Formats: sequence, structure tokens, C-alpha cells
Amino acid sequence: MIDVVASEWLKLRSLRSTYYVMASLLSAVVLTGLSAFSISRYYDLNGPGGAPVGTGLSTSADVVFVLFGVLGVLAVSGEFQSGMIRLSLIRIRRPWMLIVAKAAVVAAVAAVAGQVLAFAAYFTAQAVVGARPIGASLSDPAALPEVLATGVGAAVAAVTGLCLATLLRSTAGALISVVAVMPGPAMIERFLPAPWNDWTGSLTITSLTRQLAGVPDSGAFGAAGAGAALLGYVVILILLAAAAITRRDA
Amino acid sequence: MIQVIELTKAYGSTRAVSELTFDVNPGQVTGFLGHNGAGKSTTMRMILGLHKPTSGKALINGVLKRDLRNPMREVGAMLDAAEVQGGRSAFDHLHALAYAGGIERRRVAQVLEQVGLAGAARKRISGFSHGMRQRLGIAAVLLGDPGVIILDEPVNGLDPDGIRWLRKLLRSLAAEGRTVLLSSHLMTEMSLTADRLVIIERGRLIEDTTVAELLARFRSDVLVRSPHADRLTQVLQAAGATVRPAEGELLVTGLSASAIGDLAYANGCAVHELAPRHASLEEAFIEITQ
Repeated sequence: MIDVVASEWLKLRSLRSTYYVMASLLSAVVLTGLSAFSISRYYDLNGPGGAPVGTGLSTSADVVFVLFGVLGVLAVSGEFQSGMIRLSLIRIRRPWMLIVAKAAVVAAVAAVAGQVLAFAAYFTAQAVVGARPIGASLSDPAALPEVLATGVGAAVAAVTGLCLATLLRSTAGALISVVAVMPGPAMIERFLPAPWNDWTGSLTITSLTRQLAGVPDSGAFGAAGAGAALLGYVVILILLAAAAITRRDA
Repeated sequence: MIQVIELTKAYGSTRAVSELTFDVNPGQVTGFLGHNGAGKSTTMRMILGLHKPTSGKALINGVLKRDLRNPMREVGAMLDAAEVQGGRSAFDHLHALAYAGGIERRRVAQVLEQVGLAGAARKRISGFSHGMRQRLGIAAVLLGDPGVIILDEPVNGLDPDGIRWLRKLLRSLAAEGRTVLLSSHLMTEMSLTADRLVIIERGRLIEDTTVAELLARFRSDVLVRSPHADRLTQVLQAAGATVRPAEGELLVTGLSASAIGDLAYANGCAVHELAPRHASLEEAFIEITQ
């Protein structure tokens, strides 16, 4: 199993698309800087009373998680597309090992990259805010947890993308589903009556990550519930993907 | 060795493979022949555990593919050389595959050398010609030094040099005691590479034989040219042969060339030409698959 993980790690880092996704993640830092700048301008012109920048992470979180979802999709969809999946499968003892190994690799890569990205976005936002009292210090309650939880959210998003791509076996289909499914609950939220709207809106990876960090007013479930939901996503999706790759003819 | 036992694959009401039974023995090259769509690839995928049989089973070294302890060291397969991700270098591609089987990095350089791709090791596969991809596919097969080798249409896309190289390689792998199964729809190519032939049509086994036996069985006749054709015809027919006259020549079946020569001599018939003819394997193939 360690061998298969090593193999998947080499596959991921020898894939150009991995670097394209990483490069596009930098856009999140830019996005955070821009929105921090715009909020700071508002503060300078109108004084306090507007929304604070805080850690700055919430302004780009949706984009970040979708991009990590894309990373997960591309880690497997190319193999289905090219047929290389067959070459991979005949070399291992059980098909599910491939999915578990890929999940471990993309989760680890996304966790590390997401963490680096979150700190970069945080420090960018604080640099833009400067001395204005609308930023957040890492010693503020929930600020450091919010930054740290981004790594967790990134890992969950990447595994989600990986599993969706395994279930759909199509790059285009999986990319569309990542873009549609991940922010989906937040979109249908407004059509639902209370308390369903709140529960549904709290189910996105973005919202769950903030709830996990204990950010105030971030959702309906609380830290423990959010952690359980994130873990539940990962477990259910990996089980579905493993069952699919085992049952289907390759 | 490979054992295919009553293997059946049905897609809805159509049977791609139907109660197929044959063995592929070590130490020889076994050709797996059939027209396009006859079920060769489906059979190979079932042997490799990629497709689930509707019924029956296929064993590699006595067990199902899923029960092989270290699959990569026991079986190597190339199903379609085009099935690789083009963005990687040849080296990275093989290295990733090697990792999965716990095979050391040194072996990657070895197999690249062996298939003649050492110079292209760091180039992206997307820039490879079809023949180079074919060689890369063979390199992937050789990585784990497996005792069972399965190749689906390996000759396609190779230039004449490549074909000769592959033929030599496969023969030497078989000579080392490995089990080699390769499919093709080209009978002539098979006759030069394979010892045994397994021929299927519409998913059913129609021949499990040797190349030599098949050649001997199909339409071997003797071409005879004689100025005394009429008399010779009577003599040969009296001896039990079948004689077909064709443009001043006689096509004789049922007697060997030497027997015909002796009869002609004994009966005072001059013979200007006496040539045994074999049907090509291609003709034999078309005949038995009709």
C-alpha cells in the first residue's frame, strides 16, 4: 500500500495540471488582497460601521475550495480519459487501493498547500489593512483556528473532487459537478424554509470549515458537528468511489 | 501459465465471449487470433481482472489475478499503447508504475535501454510516435520481469525494424520459459512469431492448434506441369489423387510431390514442373473463420 501511495505521489507531481492548479490558487491571495483593499477604502471614507476584513479568508474561501476540488478531479480523471487506469489497476492487488492511495496523496498535498495559502492570504489581508482596526490578530479568538482549518477544508475538497471524478469517469463531468456541487447548498439555501435553509447552507465545505474553527455565526452545527460532517463527506465519498472502481469493468 | 476456463462475458443479450476454454503454456509464444471484435481484448481484460466475467474464470499461475501476491512481478500486460498520459516523461511514467510494484528505480533505466528508448527517457510521451509508444508499452510490461506476458495487438504501428525487434524479443522471452500471449488479427505476422494459435470468432473458440499443424491441414496441393497432362491425370486419379486442371497446369491433392514424380516416371510422362504449394495462413484463417 505504501508503494501505491509513492506511485500516486510521483504521478501527481509529474502532472503539469497539478502546477497549473497551484498557480491559479495564487489568484485567491490576490482576491483576498483586493477585497481587503476595497474594505479598507470604505473604512477610510466612511469610518467604522462597515464589515471588517477579519482574517480575510472568507473573501476567497469558495474559490480556494473549488480549485482544490479541481486538483482532486485532475488527479484521476486523466487516467480514465486516457485509459491509463487499466495500466495502473493491473499493477495493484485491489482496485480500491488506487483510490485510497490517490485520496491520501491529494489530501496531503491539498492540506499543505491550503495551509500555506491560508497564511499567505491572512498576511496579505493584514498588510493591506495596516493599522486600521478592521483586521484580525492571530491571537484573536477563532482567527488562528480559521487559518488552520483552511488546510482541513482543502483536503476535504480535494478528496471530494477525486471521488466525484472516479464516480463520473469524465473530466468535464467531474469539473462541472465540482463547480456545481461544492457551493450548491449555499445556492439552494434561499429557496428553503427555516430552519432547513440554515442547515443546508451550513453544509458547504466553506461553511463547515469556518464552523470547525469556531468562527461566530458561521453555521448551524458547531465545531464538533462540522468536524463530523467533513469526516462524513470524506468517508462516504471514498467508500462510494472504491465501490464504483471495484464493481465496474475497467 | 494462463488457464481460461468456460469464460463468458455477456453485455445484455449479446455474448462478447462465449464459454471460451484454452490454456496458454509457458515456454512458447501463443498467438490469439480473431477478426476485430471477435472478443480478444475482452478475454484479455478478463484474464487481467479488469472485466468481470459473466461466468467462468481465468487463472494466472493457477490463481485469479486478484489473488496474485505481487501482480507486477507475475504478469505484465500491454493492452493499448495509446493508453498513457502524454504530459509525463517516459521515465516518470515508468517510474510511477515501478513504484506501485515496489520495483527499484534502476530497473526503469534498464528497460528503457532494452526497448531502445534510453535517449528519449526525459521527453514527454505526447511527442512520441506510435511506434515509440508501443516500445514504451513493452518497457512497462518488462518492468516487473514477469513470467506471464499479455500483449494486445503489439505489432500495430511498429515499423518493419520494430516488428523484427519485437518478434525476436518475444521469442527470447518465451525461450526463457515465460508464458507469452499476444493477440493479432494478422495471421501472417502470427505465423512468424507464434508457436501455438488460439483462434476465436464471435467470442467462441474455433481452433486451438500449432502453426505447423494448421499449415499442414489447409489446402496443400502440388502444382504439376506436364506435356502429357491428359495421361498423367488418368494415372494420378487411378492412384487416388484429386486432380484439377488449371491453365495448362494440374493442381493435385492427395499425393505428395515425390509420389507424383515417381508415378510420372513409371508411366513415361515428362514433368516440367513439380511444386508443392501451401495455403498461406491468411487463407487458412479466412477459411476457418467463415
